[in-house]
Amino acid sequence: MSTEERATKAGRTRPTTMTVATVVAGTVIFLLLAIPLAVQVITAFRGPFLPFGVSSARWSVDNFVTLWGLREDFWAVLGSTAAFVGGSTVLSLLMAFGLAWVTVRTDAPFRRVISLLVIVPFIVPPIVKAQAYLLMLSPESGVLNQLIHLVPGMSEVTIDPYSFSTMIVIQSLTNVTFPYLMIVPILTGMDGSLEESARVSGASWGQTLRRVTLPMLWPGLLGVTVLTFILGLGSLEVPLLFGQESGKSIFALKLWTLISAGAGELPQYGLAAAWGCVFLVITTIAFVIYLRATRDAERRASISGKGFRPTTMKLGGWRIPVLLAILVFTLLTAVLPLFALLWSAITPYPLAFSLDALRTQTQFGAFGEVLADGEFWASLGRTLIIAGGSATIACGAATVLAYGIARSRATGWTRSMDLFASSSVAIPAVIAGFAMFLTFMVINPVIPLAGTIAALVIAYSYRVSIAYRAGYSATLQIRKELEEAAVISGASRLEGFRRIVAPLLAPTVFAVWIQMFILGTNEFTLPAFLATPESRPLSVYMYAMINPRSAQLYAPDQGAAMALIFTLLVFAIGYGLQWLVSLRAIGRASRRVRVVEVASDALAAPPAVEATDAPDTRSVAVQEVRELSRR
Amino acid sequence: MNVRTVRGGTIALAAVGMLLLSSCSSSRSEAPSALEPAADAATGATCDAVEVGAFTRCENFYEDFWPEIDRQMDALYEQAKETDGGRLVVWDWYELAPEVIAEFNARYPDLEIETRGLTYNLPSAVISAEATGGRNTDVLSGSLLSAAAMTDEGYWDEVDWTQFGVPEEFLRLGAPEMLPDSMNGSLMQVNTDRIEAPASLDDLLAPEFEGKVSIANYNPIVFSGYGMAEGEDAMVELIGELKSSGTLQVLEDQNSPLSSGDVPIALNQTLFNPNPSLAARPFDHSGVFAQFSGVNVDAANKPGAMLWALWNAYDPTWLELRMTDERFATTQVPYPGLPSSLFEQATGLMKTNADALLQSIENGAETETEATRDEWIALTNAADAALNG
Repeated sequence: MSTEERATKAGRTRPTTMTVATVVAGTVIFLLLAIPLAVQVITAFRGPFLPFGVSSARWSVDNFVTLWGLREDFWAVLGSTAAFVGGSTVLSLLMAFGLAWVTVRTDAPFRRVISLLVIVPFIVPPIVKAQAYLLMLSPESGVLNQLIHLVPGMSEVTIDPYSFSTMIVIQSLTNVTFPYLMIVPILTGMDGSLEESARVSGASWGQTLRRVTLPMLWPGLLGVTVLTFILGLGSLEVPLLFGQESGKSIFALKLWTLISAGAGELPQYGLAAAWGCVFLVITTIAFVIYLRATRDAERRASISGKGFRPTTMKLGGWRIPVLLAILVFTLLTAVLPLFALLWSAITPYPLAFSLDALRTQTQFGAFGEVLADGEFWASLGRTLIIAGGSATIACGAATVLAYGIARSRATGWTRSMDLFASSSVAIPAVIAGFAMFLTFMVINPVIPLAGTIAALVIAYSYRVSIAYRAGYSATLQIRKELEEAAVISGASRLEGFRRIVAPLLAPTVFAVWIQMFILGTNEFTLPAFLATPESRPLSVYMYAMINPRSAQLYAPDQGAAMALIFTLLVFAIGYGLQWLVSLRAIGRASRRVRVVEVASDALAAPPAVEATDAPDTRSVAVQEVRELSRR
Repeated sequence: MNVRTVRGGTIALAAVGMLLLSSCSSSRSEAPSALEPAADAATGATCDAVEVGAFTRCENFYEDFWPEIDRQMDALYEQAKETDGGRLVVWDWYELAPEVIAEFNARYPDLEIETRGLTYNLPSAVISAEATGGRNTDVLSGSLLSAAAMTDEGYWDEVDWTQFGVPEEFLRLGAPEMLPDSMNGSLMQVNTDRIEAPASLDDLLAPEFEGKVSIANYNPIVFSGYGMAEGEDAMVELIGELKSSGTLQVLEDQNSPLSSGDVPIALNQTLFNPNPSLAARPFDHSGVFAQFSGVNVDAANKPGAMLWALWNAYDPTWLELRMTDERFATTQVPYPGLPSSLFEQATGLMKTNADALLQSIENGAETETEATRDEWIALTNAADAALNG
C-alpha cells in the first residue's frame, strides 16, 4: 500500500477511542446548549410561571398572543435595543480599531503601556464598572462633571448620566476591550506588502486604509462586530443602573423586569421566555448572515509566509493629537472610574469629592475590613473555581470536538454540529442566564444542582463556541500529514491527537482559556440569575455590597475596596498566566534549536536558517514525530 | 460519524429529557400540619392595650407575655436541633448579615442557619422550590401585600401563636398564622444639607423640587397610601405630573445621589445610610405596614422556623441590640405593638427610622390590613403602570 493510500485510509477509518472522545465532547456541548434552550421554548409554551410542577402550567400559545398584543411595546423594545446596542457597538469598534491601530501599526510612544491600560476595564466586573461610572457622572458631585465645570466656558455644561445617549457612550466605553483584543491579532497578522504597494503608487494613508486595509480586514471585523453586538445585547449592567427611565425598553432590562415579581404577583417566566425566543431568532439570523458573509473569507487571507511583516505608520505631526485622544480615553475608561471607586472606598458613605472631604472624611479602614472578611475570600475562591472550571470544560470539549469535525469528511451531520457548536456566540448572556435558571429548576427533582457552584460552572461554560471556533481554526492550520505520519508509525489516532495535535493546539487553547477565565471572573449576568449566598461569585457579593437593596449587607465603601483589590488580583493572575505561557514558549524555543540541530543531521532537513524561521508548532511537531518514529 | 449512532444518541437524549421533565410534574401536598405548643401552655395574660393607629400595643408584653413565649422557645429549640440535622433555612426580603446569625447562635448554638435575600422574588422562590423539590425556606416572611402569592397558595402553616404566648391583639392585622415581627412604611429620605422635605407628595410639584426627587422602579407602593386616601385616578395623575414636570426620576440606585446631594429627596422606606446629613420624614397619606413571619408548610424544620420567628420578633435582648447597636441599624424597625419603652431606647439610624414610622402612624398613615390587601395590590399595580409604563 502506498503512503497516500494509507493516509487516505487512516483519514476515513478513525479508531473508536477518538470517535468516542468526539461524541462525548459533542454530547457535552449539545447538553450545554440544547437543553436550556429547549426548556426556554417549553416555558414559552407552558404558561405564565414555571413550566412544570405548578397548577398553572399547561400547553398554550398565550404568551405569544400576549406578546402580539404588546406589539407596540415589542417594536419599542426592538428600536430601543437596536439603538442602544447598535450605537454602543459602533462606538466601541471605532475606539477599539483606533487603539489597536495605534498600538500595532504606528510608531506612537508608550504603546505597551497603552495596551496594558486598555485591558483594565476588561478586568473590573461590569456591574462595578457601571457603578463607578454612575459615581463619576453624578451631575454635581461626580468627578467628571466637576472637571468639566472647571473648563472655562463650561461651568453650565453637565452630562446627564441617565440620558439615553450617555448610556450608549458608557456601554461603548465599558465594552472597548473585547473588540480591541480581537482586532489586535487581525491587524498584527495582516501582511503590509499590499498597503506598501498602495503607498508606493501614491495613495495617502486615508486612501490606503479605505481602499486596501479595510477591504482586506472586513471579514474579521464583521466577526468582531457581530460578537460585540451580541455581547452588548446580553449586557444587563448599564441599562440596570442607568436606564430605569430612558432605557426601560432595552431588551436585557425588559427581560429582567419580567422575571421580577410585581406587587402580589408571580414573575412572568412564560412571557419572558417568549421574548427570549423572539430575540434568539433575531440573533440567530444575524449569526447566519455573518457566517454567509464570511464563508469566502479565506480568499482574502493576507498572512503570507516568511516575508510577512506589518507596516508601521509614522505618526509625525499626529503624534500629539493621538496621544491626547488616548489620554482622554484612558481617563474615561481607567483613571476616573478607578478614582471613583477609590473615593468611594475611602469615604464612609457616598460623598461629593472635595478637598475638604478629602481632609476630614477619608479613612482606609474599608480595605482592612475586606481583607478580614471571610465571605470575600470564600466568594473569591468560588469565582476562581467557577471561572477556571468552566473555561476548562469549554476548552476541553471544544478542542476535541473541533478536531473531530475539522478532520472529518464534510457531511450534513458534521456541518450541523459545526454550526451548533458555533452558535452559542449568538445567545445573549441574559437569555442564557434565564434559560439556565429555568433548566436547573426543572431538572432539580432528578439532578439537584439549582443554586450550586456546579450549576454556575455549567452555565459559564455556555460560551463554549469561543473555544470551539479558535480550536477549529487552529486545527485547520495544522497539516494533516503530521498525524498521518504518526498513524503510519504505529500510533493510534487518539495517541496522535494527544502527542502531536494537542501540543500544537496548546498555545491557542491556553490563550482562549485565559480569555474565558478572565471573562468568567467578572461575569455578573449569569450569576445574577443563578447564584445563592452559598455559591455566589465575587461579582455578586460586590454588587450586594454596593446595592442599597441589600440592607444588612450594604457597605458601599467595602464594595468599592473589594472591587479595587479584585481588579489588582485578576490583573496579577492574568499577567501571571501570560508570563507562564511566555516561559513555556521560551523553553519550547530552546528545544526547537536542539531539534533543528538533530533534524538537520539525521533527516537532511532544510537549511538551518529556514528551520529556525519556522513557527514553534512545526518544530515541536517534528520532535514528536521523531519520538513516535523511534517507538 | 455513524448516522445510526447519532440518531440513536439523539433519541436517547430526548427520552432522558422527557423523563426528566415528566418527573417534575408533581403537585404540592395538601393539608398543612398543625404545630402544637409544649405542655401546659396558655398564660391567661391580658394585654394592657394602647391603640397606635391600626396597631394594638401591649405595654405589659414583657412582664406578662414574654415569660411564656420564652419557655415555649426553649422547648422549640430542643425540637429544632433534632430536626433536619439542626439546619434552618431562612429566606427573607434581605439576606441576614453574619452578625445577626451570630446573635441567634449565641443563644441557640446548635442550629445552622442558611440565608438568602430575595426581595420581591421571595414568593416565587418559595413556590418554585416546592414545585421543583428543592430545599425550601423554613421561615416565610413579608407584608400582607408582598406575601400575597404565598398566602393565596396556602403556604403559611397553621400555627396558633396564642398557644405559644403571643397576645391575640397582635394577630388581628393579618391571618392568625402570620406573626407580626416588624413594621415598615413609605418615607421621604432627605439630604437636609441641600433641601427640606415637604409635608406631602402634592407639595413636591413646587418648582424648587424639579429634578430633586427619586424613586426606585420597584417601589411604586410609595404612592399606594396616597391612592388609598385620594383614589386611584388622583394617584395616577399625581405620578404623571411628577414625572412630566421633571421632578421625579426613576433610579436603581437612589442612595448615592441622595447621600451626595445630587438628588436630595428619595421616596423610599427606611433609611440605611449613616450619613448624618440624611433624615427620614413622614408625609401625608404615607402607607405603613406590618411585616410578618411564619412557618412554611413545605418547611423541613418547622420548630426551627417558629423559634426564629419568635426570637427575631420579640426577644428583648436581641431587640435591645437592634435598637442601640449600629451594627444592627439596618434591621427592620420592631413591631409597634411592643411596649413604648423599647422604642424609647433607640439610637442612631434605628431611632431615625422608628421615630419617622411612629410619627407616620400618629399622623394617620394608611395601613395594610387583610380586608384592604387586594385594594392595595390594585393601587400598587396602577402606580407601577403609571411610573414604569
